[in-house]
Amino acid sequence: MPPILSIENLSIHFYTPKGVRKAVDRVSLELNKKEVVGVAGESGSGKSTLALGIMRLIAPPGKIVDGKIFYHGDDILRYSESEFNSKIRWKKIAMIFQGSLNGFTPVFKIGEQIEEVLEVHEYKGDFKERVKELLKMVELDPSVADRYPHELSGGMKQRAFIAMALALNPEVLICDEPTTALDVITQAKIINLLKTLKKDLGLSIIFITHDMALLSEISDKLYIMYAGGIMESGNSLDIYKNPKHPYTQLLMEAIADINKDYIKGIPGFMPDLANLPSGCRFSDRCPYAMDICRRKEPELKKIEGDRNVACWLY
Amino acid sequence: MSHVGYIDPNVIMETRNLKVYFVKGGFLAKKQVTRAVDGVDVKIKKGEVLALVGESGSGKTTLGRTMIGLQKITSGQVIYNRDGSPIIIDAKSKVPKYIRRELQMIYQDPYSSIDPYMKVYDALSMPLKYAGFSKKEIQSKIEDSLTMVGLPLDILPNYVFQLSGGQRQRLNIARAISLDPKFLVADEVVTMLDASLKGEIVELFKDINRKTGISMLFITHELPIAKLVAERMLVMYRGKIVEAGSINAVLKDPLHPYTKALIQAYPKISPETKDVIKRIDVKEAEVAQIESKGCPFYHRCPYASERCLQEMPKLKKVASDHEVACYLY
Amino acid sequence: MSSAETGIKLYLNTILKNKSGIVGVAMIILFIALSIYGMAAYKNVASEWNNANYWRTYPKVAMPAWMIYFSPNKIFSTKTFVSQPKTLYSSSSYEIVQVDYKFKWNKGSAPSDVVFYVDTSSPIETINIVWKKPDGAQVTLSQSSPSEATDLLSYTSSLDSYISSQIGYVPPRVVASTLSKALFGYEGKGLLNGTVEKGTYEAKITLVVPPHTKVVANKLYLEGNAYGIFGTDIYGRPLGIGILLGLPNALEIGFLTSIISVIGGVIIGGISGYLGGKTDSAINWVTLVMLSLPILPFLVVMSYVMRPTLLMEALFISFLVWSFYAIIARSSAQSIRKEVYVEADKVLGIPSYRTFFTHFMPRLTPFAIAYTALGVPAGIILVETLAFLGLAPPGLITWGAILNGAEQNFAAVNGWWWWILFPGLMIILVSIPFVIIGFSVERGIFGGR
Repeated sequence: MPPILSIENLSIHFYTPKGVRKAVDRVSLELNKKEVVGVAGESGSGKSTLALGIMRLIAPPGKIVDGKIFYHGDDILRYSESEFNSKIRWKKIAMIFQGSLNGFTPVFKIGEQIEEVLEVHEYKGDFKERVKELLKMVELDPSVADRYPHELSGGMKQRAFIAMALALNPEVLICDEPTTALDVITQAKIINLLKTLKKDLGLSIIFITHDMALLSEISDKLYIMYAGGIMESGNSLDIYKNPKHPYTQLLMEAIADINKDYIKGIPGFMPDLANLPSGCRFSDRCPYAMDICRRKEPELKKIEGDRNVACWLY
Repeated sequence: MSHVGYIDPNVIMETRNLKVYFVKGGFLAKKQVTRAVDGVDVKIKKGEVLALVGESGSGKTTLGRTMIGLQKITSGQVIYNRDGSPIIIDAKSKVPKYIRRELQMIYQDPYSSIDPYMKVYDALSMPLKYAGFSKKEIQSKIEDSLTMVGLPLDILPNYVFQLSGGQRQRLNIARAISLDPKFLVADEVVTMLDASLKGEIVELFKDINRKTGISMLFITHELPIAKLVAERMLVMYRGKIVEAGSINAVLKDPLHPYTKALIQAYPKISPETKDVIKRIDVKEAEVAQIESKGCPFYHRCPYASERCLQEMPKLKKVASDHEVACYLY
Repeated sequence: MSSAETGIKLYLNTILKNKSGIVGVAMIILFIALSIYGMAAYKNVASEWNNANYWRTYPKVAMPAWMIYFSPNKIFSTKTFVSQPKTLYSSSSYEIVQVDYKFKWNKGSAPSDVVFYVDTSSPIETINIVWKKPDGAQVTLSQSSPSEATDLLSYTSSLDSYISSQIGYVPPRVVASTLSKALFGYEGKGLLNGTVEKGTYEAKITLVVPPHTKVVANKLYLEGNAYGIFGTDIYGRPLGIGILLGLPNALEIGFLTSIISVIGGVIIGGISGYLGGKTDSAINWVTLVMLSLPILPFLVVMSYVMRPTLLMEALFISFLVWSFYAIIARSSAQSIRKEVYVEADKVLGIPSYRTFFTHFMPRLTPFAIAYTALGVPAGIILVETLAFLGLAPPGLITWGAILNGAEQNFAAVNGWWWWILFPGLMIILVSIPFVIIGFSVERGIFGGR
């Protein structure tokens, strides 16, 4: 079956007084049905910009400068804003993010706010029933509909937001650091919830985070992002067992896991996205950097099975 | 002088039934009491790094701040064992000036804990100047501490805003240790740093502890970090210590239901479990919990009994280096 | 206190980076240069400002000279004529000297005034003027013991009798325009209706002087109705000079009040916010009380009762205005107090006064600079308002005083628009660069951080 979402060579640039920041630089990504694609990256890697780009929520000085996003074969970047808003956004592709637990306005009840979403998007059906249904889906008691946001804990609010994101039965859910602001136990429960939704609703998820350990617990497929570009992609289990790209390898060693006795750091800094080095963007920190790495940028190419790596070592 | 009783010479910092309560509201509004630290007994040995693990709301930051005198005590005592002559701080007394520099703190956010508009040299020299060191001594101390934290000496004329987050955090550490403190509280010092930096800073703390013997309280919510930096750890939940012991003992064999759930929930590299619903033994609980005299974990605990609601269990020794506050044991 | 220096340098740079900031600074430099020029070039004039005699030969309420281009027939500048004095008769007790003027007049309106200036080595005993109009009509004006420059208006009795002989009565107010209409108009009932007789006029002036008197200089002024860049007021004082001389006073008061009130206010507010607790509450209470006082009424009363000097005026205004800055500084200090690095200082054993200088001052300084700039116009306007109400330090040349003169002489009603427009414009104009600079620094503070 073809992927339901296929991003081809997406580039998103920010035009700032200091220069053009290439936040997302020719990124390609494929999401299949009932699949969780994990996007890993440290802060500044461009992963959040990617998420906003898919939702076409990039505001100036940012701009989608190139690329295509195919949803079931249609390039949704070509849609007009009103077309995208009425057909795709929140209806087919929805998003939850780190701050969304504060995404409710404090002056209205939770139920009312979800109903408003249903109304704006012209949901056909009983609003109150749907709200009940949604809350049950996210394992919240239906009485939450009559509560105000400040009466709920962080975890409950995030669940309620997930309910709101699922209101119109989207096919794709983009999650950008959804659990970073929550405590560990609540985080694990939300991850459990997402897994359940994947199984029961057939939801396809793009999960973006810097927490590599967390990512391992949910991803089917993995994309490693660095300074705006994809360094490695492939089957999650394979990558964790056998990372190929030097950056991925260093990332794995830097993961703080309870079972580890030591963690290694990655020396150096992420390059300024307005001033990317010539050649490979990781070349100045790479322990295996060769001459060609500094001169020419390696392309993301297939090396075996479904594994793609952007590195001159291969 | 309040009666103190026996003070273990190997212990540098101790709290006895320490309580720090915050009261909000006054005459007309309903009083809201937050029991941030609720009867905590802690002993930190000389030269050790003790990890204090807890989530936000556990009171760990308040405990750390109270120990070095930044927070007023509601009741109980903090005892600083200063080379044999203990200094007792309780609800009525304040930290005497002459020991101020012996108790130091490293804050969480490197961007707001040093004034970005200062020169690096000034940030380092000012505390030393007011501690009474001579110009020559200040110069050499600055050089020593910069070397110790791995920052180059040519950073001195720069402004703090020119430094990266990791560099600022190192500067924080340099600033604190240049005063030759005896006790250091590190409050979530690597939380805001990128994964690639955490390891280095943690190593740095271990290094400093090894070289100088400064006793440390390392506060964090990240279990793997605690494991890397300390040998002993405390688990704190809503103002109370629920488990204590050596890191290995606690992590390998968690006793308290909260600790158990925490370790169950904590992300581990496990790509093979991607479709598995993780098991976490915790009940769903209401938000506004009524503070009770008993165990604060009562509402979420799957093994809770009536007794847990009535009275808080005391920390009980279960193995040579493992204590737990739970009626299950 | 290198942080403070950096703070200031950073903000000077902010101002200069901005185009409008450069314009603002350029304007202020221009104003200061003009002030210096004015004070140097017109030093003597300044002290004569309130001496009516000094301005006698200037046209009164003349409009700006450039108006001539619009209507050269009706608007013209002063025409002067010099004559060769002739001694007609000389004896041991007196001499008779004749000074004759002959000129053509073809303008559509009469001169605004006619002034005869004569400088003799000894005082003149009598002057007799025979004024001959083109149609042959004659007016005789005579005066004994005249002053050096005589506005022909001063020949009151002869003038009054001439006018009443023509129109049947003496008008209640005989002003310069009345005089000129009388001298240049057609005789008869319509003498004062403003029509002008065009043609050749003659003024035969006979002086009775002591023997051996020399006539050093003589001039007949037919005062135009246009003079200078900005015209003149009712005393003939060129408003251009008035405005120029008013500039340094305005700037001085503006700077003084601004600096005193801003520095005072920021220090009080900053320390109050920094200290917190009971002291802060007390100071804040005082600040709020001061804030609620209405400035102008208080100023008016204080000025009326105490008649202050320029410096005292500045202090008064500062006293009433510092609270505005204190409030802002206090809230800024309070938010700084919450920053982690302030508590970190405490842990590191740094005394609190030092913390104030290291962290608070550099953050309050930009405010101070921005508001010093913005506060200057406030000071200027307050002082000019007082001057307009007649309450400024006496003898001080201020635009407000000029406007006061305009108001008292019904300038608006009389159509002497230049007397109101230019001083008024100056008040606005002088405020502009300070506001520009103030806003660009403010933008720098809030934009940059």
